[in-house]
This record gives sequence, structure tokens and C-alpha cells, in this order.
Amino acid sequence: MNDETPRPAMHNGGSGMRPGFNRLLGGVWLMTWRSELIPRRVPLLILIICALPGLVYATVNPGDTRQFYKWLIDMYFLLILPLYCLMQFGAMIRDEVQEGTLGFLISRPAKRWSIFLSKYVCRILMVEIIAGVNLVLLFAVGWLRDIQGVIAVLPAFLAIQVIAVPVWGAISSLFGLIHKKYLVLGIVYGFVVEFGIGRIPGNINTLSLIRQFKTILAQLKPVREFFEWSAEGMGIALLVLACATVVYLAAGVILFVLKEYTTSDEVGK
Amino acid sequence: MKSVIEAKELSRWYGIVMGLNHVSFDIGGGLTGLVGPNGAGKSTLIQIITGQIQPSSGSLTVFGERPWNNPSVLRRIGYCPESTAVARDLRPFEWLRGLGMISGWSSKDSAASAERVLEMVRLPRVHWNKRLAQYSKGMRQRVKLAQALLHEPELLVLDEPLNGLDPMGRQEMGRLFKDLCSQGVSIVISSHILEELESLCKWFLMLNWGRVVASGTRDAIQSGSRRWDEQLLVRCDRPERLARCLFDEELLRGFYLEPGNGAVSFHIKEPEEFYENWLNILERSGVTVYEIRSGTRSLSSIFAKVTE
Amino acid sequence: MSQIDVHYRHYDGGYRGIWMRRCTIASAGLRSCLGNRWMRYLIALSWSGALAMVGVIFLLGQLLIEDSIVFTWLEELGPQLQNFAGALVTWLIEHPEISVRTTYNLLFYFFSTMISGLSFIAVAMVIPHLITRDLSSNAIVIYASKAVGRLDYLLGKLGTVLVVLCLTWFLPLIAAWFFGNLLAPDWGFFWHSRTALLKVFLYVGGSILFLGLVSLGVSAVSSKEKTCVGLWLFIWLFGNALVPLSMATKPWLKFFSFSYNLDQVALSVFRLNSELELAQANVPVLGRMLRGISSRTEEAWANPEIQGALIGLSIMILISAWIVWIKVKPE
Repeated sequence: MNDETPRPAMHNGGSGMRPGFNRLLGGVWLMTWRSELIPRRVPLLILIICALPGLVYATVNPGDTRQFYKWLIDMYFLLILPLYCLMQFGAMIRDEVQEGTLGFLISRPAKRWSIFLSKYVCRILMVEIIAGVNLVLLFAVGWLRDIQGVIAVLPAFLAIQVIAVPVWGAISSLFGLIHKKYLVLGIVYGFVVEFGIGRIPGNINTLSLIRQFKTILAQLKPVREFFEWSAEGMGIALLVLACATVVYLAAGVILFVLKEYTTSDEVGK
Repeated sequence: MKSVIEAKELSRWYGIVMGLNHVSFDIGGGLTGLVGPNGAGKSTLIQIITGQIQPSSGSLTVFGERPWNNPSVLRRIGYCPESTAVARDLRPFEWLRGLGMISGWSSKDSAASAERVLEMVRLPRVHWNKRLAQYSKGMRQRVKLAQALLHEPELLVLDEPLNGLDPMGRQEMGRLFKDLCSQGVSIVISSHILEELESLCKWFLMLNWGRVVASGTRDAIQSGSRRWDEQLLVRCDRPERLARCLFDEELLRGFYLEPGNGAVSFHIKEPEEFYENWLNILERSGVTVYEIRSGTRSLSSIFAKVTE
Repeated sequence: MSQIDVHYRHYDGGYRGIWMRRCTIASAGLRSCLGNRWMRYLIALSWSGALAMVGVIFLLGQLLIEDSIVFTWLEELGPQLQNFAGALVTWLIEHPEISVRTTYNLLFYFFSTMISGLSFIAVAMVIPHLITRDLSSNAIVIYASKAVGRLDYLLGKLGTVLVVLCLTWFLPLIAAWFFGNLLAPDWGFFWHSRTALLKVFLYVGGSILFLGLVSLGVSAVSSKEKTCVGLWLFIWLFGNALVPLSMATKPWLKFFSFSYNLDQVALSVFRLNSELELAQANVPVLGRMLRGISSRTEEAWANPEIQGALIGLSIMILISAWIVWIKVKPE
């Protein structure tokens, strides 16, 4: 293209521009999945997805239901899934701040809350897909290892995961907005609230999200068989999780709307 | 001239660090250059204009409204930040398409708009399928500029848009800015390359230590800053002799002989005294003068003067 | 003809040795770490642990003083604690060398394993300051352009992490030992607790060296802070979660956990089981107090799996060294 090439005119009828949440969501989703599934990252993603099922296959004896559910719940549901959410949702805004690209988003004609929510929704979709594949693979391993009735409970586990990702996502995105060391913040939260306060008798342990998930998981027969968790209070558990999602998300939205995220002190760190 | 940007007693503090200190100014249409050394408050001002940060006190309006979290104003502003950061994992077309949709274009219109702006910034099509991580600094600069043009803004705020561009690229961008300006787009450019800014802009806003030290056209700033020039460039047949005569009269702080072209640049001690005696000394020296030029006409020297 | 004097002048001052240059790298990293206020809070938290230990040692010493107020408190707290104190005092008076050593060993074991968690968090905070940021900013090239080699650079970085870990783990314990003994009623406490101190040197010193080497490897994995810190936290937490899982599945899985491996080293160094047996023999009420401990835990205390732990730790160091070797290439 040389200098003689006519340059397109600036205004060619911008009347088609109608800012709205749907278009915003579409734009953010396009950028999210395209940047997540780049060829360079796909092998690593496959490795991450296959690592746990591979380990489960290597260590679970054929037909040993207890071993399988220990892996599935103790390792996957209560550790890996929250950690994965912490990494993904914590980075949602913080990565943009640290890489210096947030300015491109917040200088667009869109309300800040809608930018935050659209990023949150798109991240949920992405994590649900990746975690869903991971869970299906884990159950496939269970089926290969002759675990009784494993396929029958898969939909229930998928449903619980659908609930879990937005909750862990909401709190993780809040951590990401609060501090650049959101991973450390998340771990400290885990130790203090989930493993500390969650074990204190009384009402205060309701603050622990893991406790609520244990109650929900205990509705499933094979889980009740191997874990001594109470199945009572399913409604309250769901209510607590819903409230936690709304509260953490609202806190995140308020923080994102009110706080200035300038890149100057974070770029390159 | 109708104001596009209007600041009244605008201040911005970062803890105890001052970014902007009670500045008031108007910026109208056309091309306006934002000039100032590092830490002068240029980027702070740009971030306030583009609604990324809020003023600590005072007010700043763009098209009569405050830009912070205000989509109706942001719809009319295009912003190109200083840093070379871009969405590294995406291709330019994907990135611009996504940003276009965020701005409010439909998917189809966004694609068309992305294509149009990439052509506007003259990013060769052959590079459109490469990821931005593989782009050179100059190419990233073009893509950054393209994203600022994406939603057809009425005001373009460009923070160091010429950084990383080769001389050809700078010329091209200069032409683009002038084209846009002729189409009615107001442009605010911050740059360290004052010579290029000088050739582009008619209006200037000069900042130093968070304050506006001068604003207006170059000539207005210069006439307002000081009456007499302190630098003079003279081309004559015997520059050494002229320099000696002036030096003997103790009128100079120093001088610089430009080798080869018979030019000498004088740094004047007391301008008033110098110009009173200048013609007599010139006559006494007997040198033949071919050219006399003010040494403080360039933007950089004006800037140096007003920030003294 | 130039108006400015631009004579280039060579540096004619004295040159510092290679260790000084390594120290400069270490101190630059340290300044960067300590610039983070959360790191300073973490260090303060570790030292508050040390303060608690000083308090415990002080109270222990007070038991040897007849009209001490501690006895009055114990009377109020219940007969079991009173019995415990009585037996402990008798033991301390009759066999001070053994009793002080044993008590200190137990105290140091519990305190050093307790505050180790803070050191693991400290490592997570130090990791970006080691190699990660140098990879992302290409600072390694700048280091290489100075008179430092790859080994010097790594030693400097190792110095950074070791000093931070000393501040969060090693020094609080040493300070607790020193000030605890200073407040004790008898100067003999210094002498009697010497082996406990040596064990702290051995265990905590070895542990921080291990953590330092592994953290170098983790920080060299990527130029992205998030990836490195995330990997460290994952290694730590995933390993911890593997320990109970290994009981239900394959026993070797637990050696993937560095914290489990370090705990096995601590059990071997402090000889927790034999010290507890000795204490129980002399303070019978202690046996009743420890009755709640499961036989599995007792078994674990009695037979620490030191061999597997050392192999696990060595493999982790080798992997770390391999990562550093392939990733830290200044050329």
C-alpha cells in the first residue's frame, strides 16, 4: 500500500452503532475465546485437562469406588476447581491492568459495570467449558476403572459444577480487583475462611463456601457413602451460594466502577 | 473557537505526588499539541480526558460533559495510549472486531469498520493474520491508532502516537491526522518529538510540573513569553570576525560556529543591550551578512524558554 | 568547535570482588521484596510467632520459681494443668539437661512446623522478584553485560530468597531461643538447649535451602508472574491434598508433597517420638493429655519416612535445577 492509495474516509455512517450489553458481551466473548484458544496454548491446555484424569487412572484400582470419589471430590471439586477459578477470574481484570490494555476497554462507550459483568459472564462460559471437559474425562476414567454407577451421577456433578464456577468466580474476581497478588490473597482466604472459620461450630461456619458444597454433594448417594457429611440444609446451602455470588459480584462491580485502575505502577511487574 | 475540552481549576494528586495543579484551559477543534517534559502531567491529563481517572478537584468537560464512566462522551472520544501494550494473543482484525462490538457495532459492521480503519492506518493486509505479539513497535502503533478510530470519534486523544514509527510511518501518520482534521475531527497529540508536533499542530498546550505554562499558537506563545530572542543565527562571509567583535563588546554568553556553511549561532547575554548595539557592531565588523534567523523560533526552544 | 566538554573518562576507582557483586544482586532483590508491605506484614506475623514462643519459654522458666504467679494461674485453670506443672517442675529440677533439651526440642518442632506455612506464603511472594521479572523485562541480558556469570546471578537470586526465608523462619526461631533463655531463671538453659538449637540449624537451614532452590526453578518457569506464583501454590496445595489421598490410594503419592517431605525430615531431626516418650515417662500427666492422638499419627511420629522424603525433595531440586538451566540463558 503506497501513499497514492486513497485513504478511506473517517465517517461512513456510524449510525449503526448502538451500544448495548449484548453487543458488548459478543465483543468480549470473541476476544476471550480467541485469546484463550491460540495454537501455542492448546497443547498446554490439553495437558492440564488430561493430567488429573491420567493421574486418577494410574492410581485408582479397578472397581475401587472410594478411591475414585476421594480423587473426584477431595482433589477436583474442593481444590483444583476453586484454584482454577482463582487463577482465571482473578486474572480477568488484573491481567489487563498489568499488561496495560485495560485503557482500551474502559475508554470504550460502555458503562464500567457492563464491561466487568460481560467479562465475568464470558469467563464463566470459558471455565465451564474447560472444567466440563475435565469432569467428563474424569468420569470417563471412572467408567474405564469399572466404578459402579459413575455415569448415572455425571449430570448431577456437572450441575453442581455449573453452580460452583460462578460462586468461585465472583469471589476470585473480587480478589483480582483488590490486589495484584490475588493468588496469595485467595490462598489466605482459603486457609482463614474455608479451613478455619468453616470448622468452627455454630452459625459462623456458614461463611465457608466449601461447607455449602459439601452439603450439596452429600445429596448424592455415593458421596454419602464415603464422606461423613450432613445432607441437611440443601435449601440454605443453595441460598448461601446464591447470596455469596451476588454479594461478591456486587462488591466487584462497585470496586471496578469506583476504583481507578491505572497501569503506571503495574506494567511489567 | 468552540471548546471541545474545557478544564477549570483542574487538579489531580496521586497521594502526595502532584499530577496536575489547578490548571485551567480550553482546547478547541483542530490539531492541538500537548507538550511537556516527563512528569509534566500530560498522561494524567489525557487519562482524565478519556475518563480513565477522575480529577481530585476542579472539573474537566469534554463536549460539555464529564467523561468519567460516561458512555455518551466516550462514544465521541478515540484514545490511543502511550504504552505499546496490545492484546498480544489476538490478530489485529479479531481485536478490532471485538473492540468494535464493545463500542456498539454489530458483528458485521464491526468487521467492516475494523477493515476500514486498518486500511486507514495503512497496515499492510499481509500482516493482518499475524498475532499482535509478532508485530514490531511501529506496526503496533498503527493498530493502536486503528482502534482509536474504530468508533468514528469526534475527538482523538493520542498519547505519543509517533513513538516507534519509522520516518516514513511518521509522515504517513502526519498526513492521516491532517486528513482527519480536515474531516472535522479534533485531535489532541502528546509527543516528545517536538519538531514533528510543530509541523502538525497549530495550537499548543505546554505543561510543566503539573501546570500549564503556555497555551495558544506558537507565535502567540513566543510573543507572550519574552520580547527579545536570546539566540541568533547569522550566516555571513566571516563568522569568526563577527563573533570576535561581539565577544569583545561582552554581549555574548557564548557562540557556536557551524563548520562549513559560514553560520554562527550566538547566545546573547543581555538581549536589550545586544539589539541596541547590534547594527553598529555589524557595520564596524565589515562582514557581509547573508541570513539572520532567530534561534528561538523552534517549538523546542520556545518550550525551553517558557519552562525556564 | 564544541561548547561542551565531552571527554570520556574511564572509571579509576577500586573494583569490588565477585561476592560483592553477588551480594548486590541479592540485596537488589531483597529491597524489591521488602518494598511490598504485605511481605513486611508477613515477616511481622512470623516474628509474632517467635514472641509467642518466647512467652511459652518464659512461662516454663517461671515454673521453677516457687512463688511465681504462674502457679496461681495454673491453680485457677484446673487440677490437670496443675499436676502437669508439678511433674514438669520436678523433672526440670532433677534432670535439667534432659528435661530442657526435650522440652525445647518439642517446642522447636511445633513452632518451626507451625510457622513454616508462613514461609511457604513468603516464597509465593518472593518468586516474581527472582527470575520471573528478569525474564519478562530481559534484565538477564543486562546482568550478562556486567561482569557476572550465570552462576553468580543465580547465587545472588538464591541469596535473596534465603534472606527472606531467614527473616520469616530461621531468625524468629533463633531469636525465640535466645530471648527465651534470656528470660529463663537459670543461665544453664542456654547450655542445655544447645542440641535443640543445632537441630533448628539442621532442619530449618536445610529446609530454607531446599525452598530457595525450588523457588528459583519455579520462578524460571515463565515470564508471567501469575503462572509462577500459581504453579508454586498449586505444587504446595496439590501436594498437601495428595497426602490424605495417598492413604486411600497409592502410598507413594504423598512424596509429591514437599511440605509432607519436610515434615518427615523434621520428625527425623527432632526425634519427636522418642522425646515425647521421654517426656511422658517423666511427666505422666502428659501421657494422659496426649491420649487423643491417633495410633496412626503415633506410628507416623515413630517411623518418619525419611528415605522417601529425601528422594522426593532431591527429585524436586533436580527438576528445579533443570528448569533453571534451560530457562536462564543470558546469551
